[in-house]
Amino acid sequence: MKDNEVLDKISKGDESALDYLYKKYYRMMTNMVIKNNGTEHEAKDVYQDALVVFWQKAASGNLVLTSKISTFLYSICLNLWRKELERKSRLVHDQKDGAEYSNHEQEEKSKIIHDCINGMGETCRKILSYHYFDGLSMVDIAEKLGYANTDTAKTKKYKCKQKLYQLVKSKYSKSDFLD
Amino acid sequence: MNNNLSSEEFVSRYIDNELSDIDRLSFENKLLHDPELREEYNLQNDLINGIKETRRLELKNRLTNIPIPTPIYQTIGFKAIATAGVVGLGIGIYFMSGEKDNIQLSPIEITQNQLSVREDNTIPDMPKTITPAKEKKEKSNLVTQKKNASSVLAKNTKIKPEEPIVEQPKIVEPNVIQPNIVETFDNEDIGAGDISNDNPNNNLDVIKENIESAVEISTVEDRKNKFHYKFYENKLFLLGNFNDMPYEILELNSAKDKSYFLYYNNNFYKLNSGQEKPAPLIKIENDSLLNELSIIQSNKR
Repeated sequence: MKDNEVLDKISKGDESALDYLYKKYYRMMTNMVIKNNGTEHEAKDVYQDALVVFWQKAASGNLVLTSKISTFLYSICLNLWRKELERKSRLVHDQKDGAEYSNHEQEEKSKIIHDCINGMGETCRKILSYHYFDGLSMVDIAEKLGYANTDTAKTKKYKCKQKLYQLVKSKYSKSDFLD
Repeated sequence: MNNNLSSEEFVSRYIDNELSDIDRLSFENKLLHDPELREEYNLQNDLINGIKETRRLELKNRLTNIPIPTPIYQTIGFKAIATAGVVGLGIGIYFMSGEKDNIQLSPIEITQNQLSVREDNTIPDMPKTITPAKEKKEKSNLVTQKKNASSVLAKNTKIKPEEPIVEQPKIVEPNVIQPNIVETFDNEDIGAGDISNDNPNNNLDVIKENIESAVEISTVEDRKNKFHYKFYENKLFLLGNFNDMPYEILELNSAKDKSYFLYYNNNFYKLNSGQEKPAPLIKIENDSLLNELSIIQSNKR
């Protein structure tokens, strides 16, 4: 599959293109991390993150590639691994309790939201993901989810977001109450 | 700014980028001074980030479940085959080198009689074509072998490494001492008194003597030396194309030495028995010698 074909598929939200890229460049990308003091697990994690970043940019249709996909992916992997090395370095030297507490609170909030999202139906989860993460247009979302037109998709998205909002708000209140 | 919208709706539209530029600026300005609005904004922002994070994890989970084929060079099977191959190669090299060092061809014992004309006048079995042995093998062969016919053949192949064709040796007509032909049986003493000529064993003895003095001849087609000869191991090699016309070797025995002459295409050529390297055949011009040779040749016939 050529690069432009891959990009075309991703812009339509075809996840098989992601699978294809993952397998194709797995060794190349993970080797870079492993050769730079990374473990196999870290290498895999960084490569997956890089590929998801690439997916997000390509799916939204805003990505204009001036190099090969492999080159672009490699640079993302390199940047992510540098950040990870910096983070690990900071963790060794920065042992402040306040920071730990703050992270713990944020993690708790994220967990509540994550649970609420997973508590919604699959359709709502997909429509919100496609819109807010993948950046797909309402036309593409309508096509992917089999809606008659974009208005139906827009209405569905609005209702799903309201549902999630109410759910999270109620959970937040409960959590505050328990605290 | 549209005041009919609730703060929740405003934040939602701001996040979804559905506000006009004026409303956006107004909202951002209010966000700085309104804690409630900021709290609402943070909640909805966390919500969106949560959706993104969920999707990110979903995609990562999808990728984790994709099996990555192990490269063939990392598979157990490949490693086993590669190991076996390396071991096999090692063993092969060991034995090959061992064989090389121990190359010993059993020496072929050929006596002088075998080199000369056989008693039964049969032509010894010789290979029509001899494939040239490799130089390295020849080296070890020649060292171990005695001076025998096989070494002659090995040297012969050196002369012409490109498909040398060693023809079957031509046998020199021995100087057979013919018995005196008795015209009549008037003299009874001939039959009774001198029985040596009738005794076939005695005749063979005489022939044997002549046979032992004969030299074995080989013609070798040699592109480099087209009309040459050489002696090696009591064997005469005629180098060139001697198949088109008949040739004859004259052997003159004196008390001290033997002289060889080649008669070919109505010309006589002197053959020096000590010539071990290929030398060109030079025609004899000396008239007296030519006369003598002609007489000997005619007597022989």
